[in-house]
Amino acid sequence: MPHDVLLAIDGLEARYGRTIAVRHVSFEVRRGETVCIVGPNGAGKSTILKTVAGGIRPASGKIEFKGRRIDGAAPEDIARAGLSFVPEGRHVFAGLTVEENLLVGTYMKRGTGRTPDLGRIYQHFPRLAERRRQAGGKLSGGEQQMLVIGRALMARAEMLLIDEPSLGLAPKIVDQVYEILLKLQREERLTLLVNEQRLDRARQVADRVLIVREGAVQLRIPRNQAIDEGSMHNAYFGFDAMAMT
Amino acid sequence: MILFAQTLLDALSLGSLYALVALGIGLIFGMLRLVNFAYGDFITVGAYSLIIPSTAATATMIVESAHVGAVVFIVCTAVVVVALVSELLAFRHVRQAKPATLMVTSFAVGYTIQNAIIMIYTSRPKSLGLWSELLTPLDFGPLRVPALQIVTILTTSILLLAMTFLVRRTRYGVQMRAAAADFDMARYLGVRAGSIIGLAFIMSGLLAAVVSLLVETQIGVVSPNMGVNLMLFGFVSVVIGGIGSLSGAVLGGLLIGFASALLQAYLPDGVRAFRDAFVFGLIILTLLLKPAGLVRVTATKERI
Amino acid sequence: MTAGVCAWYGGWRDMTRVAVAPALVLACIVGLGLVAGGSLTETVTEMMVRMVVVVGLYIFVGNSGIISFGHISFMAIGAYAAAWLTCCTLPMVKPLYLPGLPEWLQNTAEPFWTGLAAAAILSGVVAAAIGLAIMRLSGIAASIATFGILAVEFNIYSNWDSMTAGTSSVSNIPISIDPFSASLFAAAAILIAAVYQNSRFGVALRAVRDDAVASKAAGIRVVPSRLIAFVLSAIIVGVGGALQSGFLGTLTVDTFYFQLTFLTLGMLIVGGISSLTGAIAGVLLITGVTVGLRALETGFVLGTIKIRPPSGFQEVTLGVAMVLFMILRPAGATKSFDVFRFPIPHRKLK
Repeated sequence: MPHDVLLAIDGLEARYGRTIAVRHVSFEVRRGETVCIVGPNGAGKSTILKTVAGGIRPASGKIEFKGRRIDGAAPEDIARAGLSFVPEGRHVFAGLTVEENLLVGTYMKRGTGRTPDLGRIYQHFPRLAERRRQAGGKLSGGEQQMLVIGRALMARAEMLLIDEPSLGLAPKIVDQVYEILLKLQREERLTLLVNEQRLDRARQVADRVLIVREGAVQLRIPRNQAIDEGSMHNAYFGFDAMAMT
Repeated sequence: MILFAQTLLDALSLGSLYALVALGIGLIFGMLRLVNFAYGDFITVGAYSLIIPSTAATATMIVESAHVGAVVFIVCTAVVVVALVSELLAFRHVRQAKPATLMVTSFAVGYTIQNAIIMIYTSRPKSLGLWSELLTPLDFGPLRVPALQIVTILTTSILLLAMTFLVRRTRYGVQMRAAAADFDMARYLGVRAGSIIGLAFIMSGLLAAVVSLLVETQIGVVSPNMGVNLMLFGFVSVVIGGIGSLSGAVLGGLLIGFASALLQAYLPDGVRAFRDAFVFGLIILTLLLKPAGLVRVTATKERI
Repeated sequence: MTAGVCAWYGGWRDMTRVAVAPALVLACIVGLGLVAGGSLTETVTEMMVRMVVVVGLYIFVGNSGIISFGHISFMAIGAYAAAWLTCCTLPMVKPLYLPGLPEWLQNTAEPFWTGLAAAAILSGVVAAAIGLAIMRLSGIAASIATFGILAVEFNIYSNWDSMTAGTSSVSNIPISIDPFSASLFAAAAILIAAVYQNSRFGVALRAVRDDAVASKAAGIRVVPSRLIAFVLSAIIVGVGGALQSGFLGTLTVDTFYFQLTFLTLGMLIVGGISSLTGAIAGVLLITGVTVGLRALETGFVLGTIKIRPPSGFQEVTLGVAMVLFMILRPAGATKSFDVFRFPIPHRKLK
């Protein structure tokens, strides 16, 4: 594969029990890119990310990270390879302090990869530095989101999978979160694959947007490419909403 | 007055024992949501590991009880091995199962261990005088205190301090607490499920081994279900103390030890044999008043 | 009235379909009791008694989803209650075994049915009292509490020498149970369990089992639902205890402890924990296995060597089998399939 492709997904299929949640999804993410997956609820966006991160075993298909197969691998091994997952709903370790939360992912020994130390993370997230000894459960929603992103970074991630970072947060906070994400991406040379609810926000930040509905990729929109509303609506809703008005 | 002081020491000693059991059970429960009904049998294994299989009523030890190091080593190794093997062969494969399945599995594991012991050693209780010197009372002014009680209290204190250090200040502790808070999320951050569970079982096993030694010295008899009552009180200590809180488990153990010792001292003769029933009554009462336990835990996971 | 019932079930055809399989099962059980004879008499009677106990256990565990480790204590309560009334075949012996009995019981030897009634009543009352306290607990806490019930009962009964002979046995209890009568009791227990689980109480409890929050929102009261099942199941298990004393003629407290708890729970789980058919199947299956293992324990020949497994072998095998079951097929042999499910009666739309 071309050397700058970090994540390659080919023909991915995943199930919940007997329901097929993800059907034949294929796409690539190049190093340094930001790719957003957009789609209605129940479209399979979370399942895609969870399967890549190792939380769900794919029914079929290939997932390659840095050239090595990771489909079916254990989540901790995938994390150690440099692919960090920030699941929906933040999942801060409530009983641990902010600092302890950040440290959880640092105990793997790895030869390669950058080593963001605590100082650097606190520079990116000064609010976390202020609250370093507080219990993670006591932080506000936005702070928790920062914490889990910082935590994933501390785990020496080269690529972050983020599931719905805007969920449950006020719009202004979401702006801040994305600001930081993009800043991090520039400064730490991160690659991002993000599930986002809102198409407009996704188009703002992403190099590429994938619209997913009913478990399949319906439309791929590169940055700055004009796309007509009709096809976008079609991809998102399954019918042309605009044509009906 | 003297009776009261002696009772207090009894209480502290018994409470320490229950606290250790509660800790051993709480460690596993916190991380895996597994109620280990085999824990009492881990304790029993510890005691039996010291004796040679025979049908005699008096047990013969593998090593002299004077070789303290050897005794401790044998017991700890035996229990830890049994704990790890249980995890490898049974618990690992039901990790994602429903709580009911987990409980029945641990009950089955315990049942198997207990009957394996019966197979090897017969079900007849055997007398085993381990470190009986410790039972001789020491005089502290007006008080007569069996040396064993002092040993129990000291050992427990040291173990609790060590565990607190381990859990609060080391990387392993951080990972264990993270895994206990949210196991899947910990894995997504690179915490190895296998290693962290193994560590928990080793620690749990070591605690069971220590309890086994202390109890065996106290009662001087080994029998296949010697661990059962301890395990039961361990469970309720965890529940009373508040699920998910290790310090709560310890507190629960101490409280139950106190209740038990006080009842033992002050219940009238006729009913003293039913002391355990009374303790249980108190526990039910506590649960009715405070169903979530005595120590508040900020948990995001579903509580009992 | 039959016309009315038929209208509910939509006609004779539907009724037959719903009733045939259960009737068949019951007939087989009673039939087994009829034909059992010779060397199998004791085995079959014991199996029928256990079926009563396991079906009783199912009434609570299967419908509430709460694993109870304590039901055997009700069996003990029932067994000794029956013994207190029906003992002994030699009247002078009674005060020797049970010196603690009140005057009016010391010199009587009541018929079996009186003993049965006493067993049912005492188990029911104790279960009601305990249940009021613990039925608000859920899941794990409830199971631990039931474990405690067993421990407490064992503690009390082992020390209550004057009423239970403590660690020794109470013997000379009149024997009134044979395979056939035991099978009738088993059939009766199954019928009661079937009626319960299809009644609104059973359905309500299963709703609580599946989703407590939604059930409460639908107006179902959790504690009373559980309590009814708990008491009913304790009564049936208590009756099983009475049957046990009327079958063996002798009772020891430590029979009613872990061994039997594991066995009965195991039978229920192996058969299928959420199915009455499963409970029955489990008893049959495990009885078959234990009979086989018991035969092995007397020794078998492998080539030219006679192998005699040490005592405890049967139990270890059972334990290992249970662990394997939990790993491979936790839902049990029947999973949720149950012939004793009757559709809820409704008027057919014209």
